[in-house]
Amino acid sequence: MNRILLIGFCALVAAAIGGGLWVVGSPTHARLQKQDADRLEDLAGWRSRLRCVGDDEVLPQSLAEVPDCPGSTAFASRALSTQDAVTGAPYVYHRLSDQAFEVCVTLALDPEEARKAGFLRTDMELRAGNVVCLTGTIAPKN
Amino acid sequence: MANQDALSLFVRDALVAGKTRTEISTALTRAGWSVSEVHDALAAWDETPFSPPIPRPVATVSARDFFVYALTFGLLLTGAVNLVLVLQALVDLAFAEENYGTTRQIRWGVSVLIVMAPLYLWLTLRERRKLAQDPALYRSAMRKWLTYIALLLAAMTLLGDLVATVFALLTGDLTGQFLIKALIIMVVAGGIFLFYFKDIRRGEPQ
Repeated sequence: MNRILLIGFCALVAAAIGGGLWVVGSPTHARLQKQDADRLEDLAGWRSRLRCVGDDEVLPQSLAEVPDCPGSTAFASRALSTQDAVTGAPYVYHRLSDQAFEVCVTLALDPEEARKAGFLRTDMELRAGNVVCLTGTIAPKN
Repeated sequence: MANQDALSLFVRDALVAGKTRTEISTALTRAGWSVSEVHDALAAWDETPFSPPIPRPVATVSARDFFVYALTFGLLLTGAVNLVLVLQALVDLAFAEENYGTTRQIRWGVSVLIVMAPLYLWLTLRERRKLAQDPALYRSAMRKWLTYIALLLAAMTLLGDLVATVFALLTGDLTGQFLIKALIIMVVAGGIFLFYFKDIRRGEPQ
């Protein structure tokens, strides 16, 4: 009886380990997920920074020209890279008008995975080829 | 402790002198010893008529036992909790749309199981081999205490699980997902209870 219980427990533990690893994927997959989460955080950070530009000004021509956002939330004022930390490709920034913009990143994995993991915000738009964009307009200055 | 030693010595001397157990018991009770103390003192000596009286085996305590059994039961407790967490997370994934935080929980649980399960298995099989070779090891007080603690925790988990299931039923929250998760706890805690219940009975004097 005890031998059967011990064998049963071993089988249950093996099933939990096997099932767990099968569901969460390989370490490489986990690393790619984490990189995608960082990209999406950068994307949200750039939108906050761009929104910081007051309505009496116009949007800059490139991300490098976006001014800092002092006195803003830690999220908007943190140091942001203008390019993808892994691939080195610059984040895509489009001026849709003097006040409207969009910023885009290309994820390594299917954006559906980021959505399931809760990294993909509901206002992020999915484009073809794992591209995710955020649009916005500059915030009026009080 | 010195009093207990004196009591044990008195019982031994009285048995050597040929006094009956009833006589010894009466004398000790009259002297103020409690019934349980007298019973324990007499039970320490075998009833076989032999001189000098034969001491019965007593529970042993050793630092080695503490280390081995505390480690084994620590591994069992941590492993069982993480086994339940991983299995429940897998159930959540099967039912839920999102997996926010769940994959991290699974990765942590799997890491714990990969390290602790083989170590627990090795320690348990090693102890079993030792117990088969030397049944005197069944008298380890550490083994007995920690086994009973494991039984207590398993029994309380089972009861808590049953209460939660009944509560969910009464509040209308008894979903398939909840039922499977409750079943996982029941299988793990019930399995541990059965395993150690049979184990402790094997070591009990007949």
